[in-house]
Amino acid sequence: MKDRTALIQELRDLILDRLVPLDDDELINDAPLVDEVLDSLGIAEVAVFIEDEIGRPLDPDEEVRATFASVDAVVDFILANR
Amino acid sequence: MCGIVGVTAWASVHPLSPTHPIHAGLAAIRHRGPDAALADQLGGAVFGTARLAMVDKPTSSQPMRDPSDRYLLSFNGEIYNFRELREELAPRYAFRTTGDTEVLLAALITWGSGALPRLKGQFALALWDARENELLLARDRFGIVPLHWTTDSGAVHFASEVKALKALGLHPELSLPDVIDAGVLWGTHPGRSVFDGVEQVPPGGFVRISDVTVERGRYWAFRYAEDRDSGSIDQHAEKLRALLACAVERRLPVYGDLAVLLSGGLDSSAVLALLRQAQPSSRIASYSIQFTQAALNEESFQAVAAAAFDTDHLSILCGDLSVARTLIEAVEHAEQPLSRTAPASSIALAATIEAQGTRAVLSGEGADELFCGYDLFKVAAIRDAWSRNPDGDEYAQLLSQVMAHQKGMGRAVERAFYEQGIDRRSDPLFSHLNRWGASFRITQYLLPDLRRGLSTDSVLAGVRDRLPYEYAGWSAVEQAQYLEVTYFLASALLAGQCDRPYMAHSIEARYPFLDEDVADFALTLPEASKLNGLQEKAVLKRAVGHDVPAAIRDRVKQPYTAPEGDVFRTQPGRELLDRYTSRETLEAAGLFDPKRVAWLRNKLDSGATSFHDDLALLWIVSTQALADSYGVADPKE
Repeated sequence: MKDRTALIQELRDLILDRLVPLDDDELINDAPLVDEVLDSLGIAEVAVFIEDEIGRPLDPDEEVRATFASVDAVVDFILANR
Repeated sequence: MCGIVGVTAWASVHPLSPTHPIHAGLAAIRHRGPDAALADQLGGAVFGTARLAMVDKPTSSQPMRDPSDRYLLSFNGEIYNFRELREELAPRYAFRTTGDTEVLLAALITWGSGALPRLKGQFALALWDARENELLLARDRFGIVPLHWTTDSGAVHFASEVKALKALGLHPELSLPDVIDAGVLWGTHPGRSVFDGVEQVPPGGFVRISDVTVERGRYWAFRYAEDRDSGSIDQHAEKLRALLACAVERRLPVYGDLAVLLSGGLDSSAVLALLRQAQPSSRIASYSIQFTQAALNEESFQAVAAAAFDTDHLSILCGDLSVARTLIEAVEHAEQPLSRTAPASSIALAATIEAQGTRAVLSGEGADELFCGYDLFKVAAIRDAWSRNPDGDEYAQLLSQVMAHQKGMGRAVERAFYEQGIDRRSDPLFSHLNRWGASFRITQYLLPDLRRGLSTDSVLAGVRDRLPYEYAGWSAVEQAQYLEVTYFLASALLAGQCDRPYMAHSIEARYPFLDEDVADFALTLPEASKLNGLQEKAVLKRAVGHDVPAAIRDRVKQPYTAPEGDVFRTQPGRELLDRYTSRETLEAAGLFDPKRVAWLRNKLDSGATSFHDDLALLWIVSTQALADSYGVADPKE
């Protein structure tokens, strides 16, 4: 099972390769993802990433800003729900 | 409608001659007025008008002098209440013509800028007073008709379109801060253009210029009445219907066919219904755009309306390919970066309408802004309530309900997007934080030096600084209306999607919903008459609901939009990308980061792009196209 470091790296790769044209040092793990980095398609892509990792669809009450708040927050959610 | 252009100088005056630059200026805007192109000089002013003769063809030529040869007028547009004004002015002015131009001239001579609030119409005008050596520029309330001006070497130059200023020998260049505003805000600030040093006369505004002073004033502003109409919604609806019927009748063309732009939605269908009631036996043409993408296509509703009102209906089919083919033409006419591809479809429809010999069309634009038609207003209301009760469960559900019919927005995860800013209710731009916060992301494609220091708040500061003092007392929904009217309606819709594409083919669009009496009444309505719970345009549906087919009255509102990102996946679309986003082209303009733009192109090639990716691509391509023609003022200055 992937550890925290691996999850963070995979999520960062997803965001930087496919979602936003930032340089690696511009994506801060605890910076607000939803407010400052991702658009609505990006949020949906990260939702798919989460669901793949936890092995189930997100409940509607899990699809809230807090879940996607930052790279760290997303990984925390995955770790808590695997 | 016409095109106007002119130069006024207080020192050395270049006399009018066959080689005067005014003729090149007129040629550059000939599409706005194919019927005549004339120039005249009065003292220090040389004016030109390319005329599209809609009233009094034989005698109302322009530029027009008054009988004493003190005043010279060039005017673009229509004064719909010219007959009433003429009656009022007749005791004091000996009219020589039967048209609206001379009535406007007489009104300005008699009342000065006090004439402006008396006008009902769509207009841009330039008046020269040769005795006072003073120039007056003015524009209609909503900015339906364009008017740009700038100073150079002690002279003032004005024109309907910037291309005419260029033809006069000036060198307008793109202004990066205004290009950013156009991309992020979907419009420029009132009075601004995307060209360095080139101003627009603001909607509802005037500029009075002498050799020593420049006075910028407003004769009208979008403000809600302090005391709202206390009647019932049925009373509001009855009054609104009567005003709309008058507005439609005022806009009947004197010459030529009756025609309506028919989207298939409530607004244009209502205009058509009222037109048919005013003209029960006349031939009415209706024109529509159908889209190849099923999600965008409103053909069935257009057909219902055309059949119900017995129009001669003509539609064109637009898809990614056709949009890609007309996109740059649309940009060249819009003279601003595009925030949507719809102008490209409009310009294609305009060509078809021109080929039919139609010169004027009625449009339903303006209703969504005045009567809360957009989902934006519902979202603003929900978010406003949610901000005051952050733990409330029902708001997320309401939001999902509103978003459900938007294509590709079915996931609850979209709520996370709209939850942004819930804790920022005290921000005056609360209603637009999501939209503008998201569209700000297009700036990540600028060069590093140009995006350094930029933030959403640094761009939005320009909006906050310009808010009227009454704004803070309005509800979130009515604040949202103000912002939509000021930015989106004026720039993206009326300029980019309406005046410019239709005038490109000498077609004058007319807007009953932006009639002064209709707008004044809308501003007295309580919010609940406009947005009743989650029912948009409540009073309008009550007013015209029995006039339009039930299928149209009861349909879910579909935002009018056109193909976006897939446009750039077509062959002509790729050619546009190759031409305008190559490394060499980007480096020549010095605005965009070639590495990041290449990343975006790769994303386009390899998978789905988001709405904001498409917005960025469109902004980059349209800005580059304008940079190609005009150059860019040093961004670092």
